[in-house]
Amino acid sequence: MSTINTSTSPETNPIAAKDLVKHFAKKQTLANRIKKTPIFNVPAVDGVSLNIQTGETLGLVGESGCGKSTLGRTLVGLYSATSGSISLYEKEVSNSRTLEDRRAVQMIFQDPFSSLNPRMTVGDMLSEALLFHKLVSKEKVKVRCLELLSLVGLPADAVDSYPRQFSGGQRQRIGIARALALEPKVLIADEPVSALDVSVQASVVNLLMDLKKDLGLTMLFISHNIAVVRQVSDRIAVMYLGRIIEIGPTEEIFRNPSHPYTKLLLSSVPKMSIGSQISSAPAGELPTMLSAMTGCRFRSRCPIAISDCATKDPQLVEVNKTHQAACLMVN
Amino acid sequence: MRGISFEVGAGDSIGIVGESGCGKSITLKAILGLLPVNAKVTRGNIYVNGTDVAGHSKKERRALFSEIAGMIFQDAIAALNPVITVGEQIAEVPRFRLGQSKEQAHATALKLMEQVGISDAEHRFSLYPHQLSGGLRQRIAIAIALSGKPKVLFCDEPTTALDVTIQAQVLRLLLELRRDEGLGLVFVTHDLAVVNEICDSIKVMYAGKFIEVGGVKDTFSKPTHPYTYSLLKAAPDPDVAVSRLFTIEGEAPNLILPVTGCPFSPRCFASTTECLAKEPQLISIDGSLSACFNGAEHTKWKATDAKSGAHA
Repeated sequence: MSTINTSTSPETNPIAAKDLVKHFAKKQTLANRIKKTPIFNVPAVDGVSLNIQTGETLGLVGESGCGKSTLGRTLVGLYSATSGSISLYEKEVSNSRTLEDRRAVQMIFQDPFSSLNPRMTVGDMLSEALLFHKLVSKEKVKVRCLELLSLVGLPADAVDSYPRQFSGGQRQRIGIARALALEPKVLIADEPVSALDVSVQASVVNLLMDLKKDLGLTMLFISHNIAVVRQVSDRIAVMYLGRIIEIGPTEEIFRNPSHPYTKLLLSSVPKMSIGSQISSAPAGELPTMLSAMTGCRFRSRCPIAISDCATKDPQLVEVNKTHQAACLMVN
Repeated sequence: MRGISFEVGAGDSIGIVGESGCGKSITLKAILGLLPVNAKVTRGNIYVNGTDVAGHSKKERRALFSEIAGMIFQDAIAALNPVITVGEQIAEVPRFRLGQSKEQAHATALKLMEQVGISDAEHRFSLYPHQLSGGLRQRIAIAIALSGKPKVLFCDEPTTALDVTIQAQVLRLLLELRRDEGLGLVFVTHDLAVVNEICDSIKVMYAGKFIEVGGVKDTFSKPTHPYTYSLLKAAPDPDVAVSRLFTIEGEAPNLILPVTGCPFSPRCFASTTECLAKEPQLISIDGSLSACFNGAEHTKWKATDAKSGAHA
């Protein structure tokens, strides 16, 4: 199914980012203009480097406002990066992507209601993408649409229906079919199951896992739901205020979290084990990124912060070969 | 909502769980008289301290409830008035209903803010809701709910919109209020793990009815209704990674159409012909209540399900 002219040897990463930065300009108010206050940009993503290997699912977790969705959208190309580079199969694409580059990275959105055009039938939506990218001829487009629908477990008559005729779980399947229509190499799933009920959530997660295995997809799974991320990811990256502060294999992160924020996050998750009662509640609120920051971003909430944390900006260091954390107190 | 019974005493903590559209929020709203105009309680009684209030006028009911109940909502920013400072909103009930003077009400509000763990209360008293973070807003909403000295706090998904570390703070606060003040909690949520952490008893709702009622420990360890069993298995556990999540086929029924038989039977792996004909009522099984004809045989169908691996 590949028509993308890139080598797919296991050594080349389907998608990688280096020192990726995305700033959003804060609106300049009249008062500030008169006072000549310099414009401060909100660093939503502030120097992120990561690579995802072929066939791997990288789970990206963090609290709201930490920049995980911005990172996902920048990787897809919905936002242009302020600085840093993105490469697909070792080929730098950054802010000028060809049609093929764009095809190779597709996205699934959180909200299955607003991400589908209410005035287009499912068939129209799928054929629009297929025809625009000239993947099939006009005569064969209907057949391909039906194939895609059966791939995501929707009935064939869905092709002539409108999004409003479907439930949340079914709509999310339509969103997945639309992303898969372009035969992508990399799928960026931004909170794909957060809007769904538990019973439906499980079936969509299973579908994503099956598709990933069958089609050899590489996936970035963005979610705030740590329990779901644990089920789907090979590796986990934890984000805090625009930075990745810990990254490593899923089981390693759960068994041996090294960054104090990861520890806090994992201990805050309500558990299913019988008799569990929330024992310790973390202090403090998530700071906003509206002010420039020096030192470690987590130090205001950190139980083990030392004076060095206020001045030194911790970089990711190795805990072991596969596991890195950005904390001065690691090791 | 089709025939719901339960009672709350001081210091009780009840979790009502179910999927969206099953009627959890409507249950709370019906009790408190907050139903939208197109909904009404067609039958049944609501007792407050032993008096039936279902027939009372809105005004009478409001007077009764204001003394015993407080409510917090999922969306704190929508529940708060954007043009009044949060401090004044907390002071409103002490001032106008408890008859305190302006100064007394101010002091009461500050005390409530400290009680719900808001530091620097004096400064934050004069802030507006938009100036506060999500966790602080929900604390303000809790402080307002507590300002009338309620016996029972009705919580409608109070932590669903919050980040997990902030959720832990709010849950901890509710647990402390319950322990220290003997506050009763009625906790509506779709998150089973949250119920496990803070409730003693659980009521599982499906298609407008309670289908399983029991203690949290009993229900989590040996559910007697196939829906509860499936829901518990479908919920991803942060402590355990499984290769494949358990799924429940199909969708919840549309209650616009009349329900015949057990509403869960089309999705149930243990359903029999009896389930299609009659709607089961809650009966006592192994110490909890379950609305399932095959509830007594729960060990049998659980074993069959595990063996068949149909869901694995």
